[in-house]
Amino acid sequence: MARRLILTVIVFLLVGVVVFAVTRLGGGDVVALPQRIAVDTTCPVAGCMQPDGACHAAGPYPTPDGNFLMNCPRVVGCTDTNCHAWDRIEGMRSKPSEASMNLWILAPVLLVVALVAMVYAMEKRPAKNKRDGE
Amino acid sequence: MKTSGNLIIDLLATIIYIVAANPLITGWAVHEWVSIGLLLVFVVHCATHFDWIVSTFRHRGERVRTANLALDVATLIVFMVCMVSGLMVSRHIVPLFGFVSPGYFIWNPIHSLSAKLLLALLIVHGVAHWRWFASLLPWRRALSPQHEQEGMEDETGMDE
Repeated sequence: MARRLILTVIVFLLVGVVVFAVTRLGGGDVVALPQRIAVDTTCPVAGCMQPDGACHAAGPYPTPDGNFLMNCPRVVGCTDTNCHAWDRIEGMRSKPSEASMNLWILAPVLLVVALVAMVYAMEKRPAKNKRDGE
Repeated sequence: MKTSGNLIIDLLATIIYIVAANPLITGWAVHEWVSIGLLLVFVVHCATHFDWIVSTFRHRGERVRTANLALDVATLIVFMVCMVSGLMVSRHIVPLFGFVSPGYFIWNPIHSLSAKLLLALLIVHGVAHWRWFASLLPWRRALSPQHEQEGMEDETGMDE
């Protein structure tokens, strides 16, 4: 079992490396391995810098105060102290988007599976009872 | 591995997946950590079926088994796309270790798309193996023990 586990982990790692390599091939230099957070590290979403070097990726987020200069990560050269990316950080980045429709797909699927299982059980139980009676 | 062992791993994987697939309810931190747990369970799930995978590669003539294997390979690829892209847009785990990942605007749509695709593939995966699951239903086992045997034969290697 240990040998199988090691081989499986190797296969998973290989697929992961290929996924990263293909994305880098398509995405160019923007796609890179995770980098250590430093004083001059910019936020991957908003392009802003934290003076103390601590990334606010998981919050708390700085609020626009008219002094905090943000560099847009999408439009090269665009900088502003009141960047319109704040909505994006405070919305999508900080809490899951409702566009994540997994709940709305999973819930009906589970409901259908449960109903099918119930109907199947109800159909089979009388047959079993009948056979037990005989 | 025994059938009960396989069933426990499958049920565990399903429950963990349902939790991981709903960040809207759990929040990002739970989503990220539970997804790491899901990766571990998926590795164990694949390792328990390793012999079946190798055997199917060797005997590619059987259409149903080959189709199942193709589905499983597609699921593995999409699963790893989802995991890698998930790590690259991580808000908790990667920053916790003092790292940040560039390319958010490339990885984020990939993560969303692969998550939807993974859900679809996992549903198909479950349906493809419905006979094995059905054979384990208590009333079906009581009704007809040979059904269980049929189910096992369909899942050659699943219960080794």
